[in-house]
Amino acid sequence: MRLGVFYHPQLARQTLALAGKLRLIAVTSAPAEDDAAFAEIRAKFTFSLHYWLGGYRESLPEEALLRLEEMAALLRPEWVVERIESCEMSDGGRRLEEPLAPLYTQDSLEQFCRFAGRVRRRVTAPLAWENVPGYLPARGAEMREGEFIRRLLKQTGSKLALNLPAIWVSAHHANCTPMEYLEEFPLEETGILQVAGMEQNLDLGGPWISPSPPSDEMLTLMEFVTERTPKLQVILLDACFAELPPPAFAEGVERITLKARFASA
Amino acid sequence: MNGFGLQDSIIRSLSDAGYRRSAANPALHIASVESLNRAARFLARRYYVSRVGRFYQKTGQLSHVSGRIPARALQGRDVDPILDAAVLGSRETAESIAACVDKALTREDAEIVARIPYWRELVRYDSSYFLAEARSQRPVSEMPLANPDALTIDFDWDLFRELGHSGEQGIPEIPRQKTTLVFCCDSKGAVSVTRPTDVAMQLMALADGTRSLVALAEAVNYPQQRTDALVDCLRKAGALL
Repeated sequence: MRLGVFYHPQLARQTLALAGKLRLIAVTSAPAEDDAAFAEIRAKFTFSLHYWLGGYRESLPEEALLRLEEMAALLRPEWVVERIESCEMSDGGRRLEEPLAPLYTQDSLEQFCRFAGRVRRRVTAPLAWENVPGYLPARGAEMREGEFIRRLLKQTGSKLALNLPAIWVSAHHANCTPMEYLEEFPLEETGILQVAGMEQNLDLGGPWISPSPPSDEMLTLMEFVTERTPKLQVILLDACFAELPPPAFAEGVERITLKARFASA
Repeated sequence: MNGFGLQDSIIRSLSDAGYRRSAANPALHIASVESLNRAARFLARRYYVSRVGRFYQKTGQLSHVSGRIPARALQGRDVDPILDAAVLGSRETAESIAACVDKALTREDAEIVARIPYWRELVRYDSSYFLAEARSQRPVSEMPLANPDALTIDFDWDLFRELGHSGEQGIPEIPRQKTTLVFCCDSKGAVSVTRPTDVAMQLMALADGTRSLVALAEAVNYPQQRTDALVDCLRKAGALL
């Protein structure tokens, strides 16, 4: 098991300084041309590619898939991670900029399976699926999220990128604890585990991910999960916030390192 | 309605207050009004905080002098009525948001203006940059047509340049020089700011959707080939449709 972080150019120097502790970098977009530090990052770390194409749309633009291919060719990622989200209307009419969970129906499951096939035809790296925060409780689902994910992993031969902050949010809006919410999740198929700080969001009237180190409660949940995830390879600190101050970033790495048992570099 | 149709109605509900409140909204059958409103306000605030952070660049760059961070104007509860009525990406909502941010940046700003004499111009610049991304319904025209969403703004200071060269006390020196700038958004959503030539200004004024390229070249007394190239350039930038 190794420790990784989401890449942010503003934190490149801090990331490089922590190269002894960090082993993997999660990348969400192509590096900017003026990102001088990225060549060094590329030389020192392995990658996971979180491109988040959005699996809901049937008519995924060819150019989006080409960009995914290009990114995979550049980074040779250990994983390609896609979110189980549906932020865009099926006709492409409107797109939300924050993740939105799909309705967990059989139709939706089949759509994500078709999407996985399209991704697999473009990249060779293993595919992992990331859960998203369920901040909008809705009726109309045919199965619970955990069951949906279990079926999706089985039908697509993929692993789970378990986003614990998202679980935290979903559990709050489902009126249960994060541990209870995880009961139906296929934790044994978890390859990547994401942790982050949390704060109260006044608009949602509940928790949301914050640019802060993970709390003791989050780290306790992380321990609970790691005891149940024999195939876990990476714990990721979700630092993909521009506003995460470097000291908080370093503190986050330190707090996770103290709690988890990582393989030596 | 199948699951995909319901999902589409949720997405639309969360991005368009008018649709969300309409009795015909299918999302109301699967989610409570309260939870839809809560999620919509959350999404709207994040949408506009992100954009104000991105487009109010020049005032943001001088926040160490002004003590004012543009996006902070959207953190209070007083913005909630705007967010609750928002249609994400629309010009109307963007105007309400810009008015709110501009008010926060210019309220009792005499001390700031004393230190940064072009402060209010900077606010207008950033506000225009922010507004240019938001769209109304774009008309369709075969003939060149000025984009109704493009903004042509006159400034008393030359704000076309980067705020790179700091003078005394870390305040960039900007020449006091009348400047006209056009803020527009291309078909892919990229916003640009240009200082148009006189011919480009004339073309934008004359392109009303009824004049052909030949008629425009004649009207501005400019060589046809160069008119074609200029119109093409203005179309790519989003100043013309």
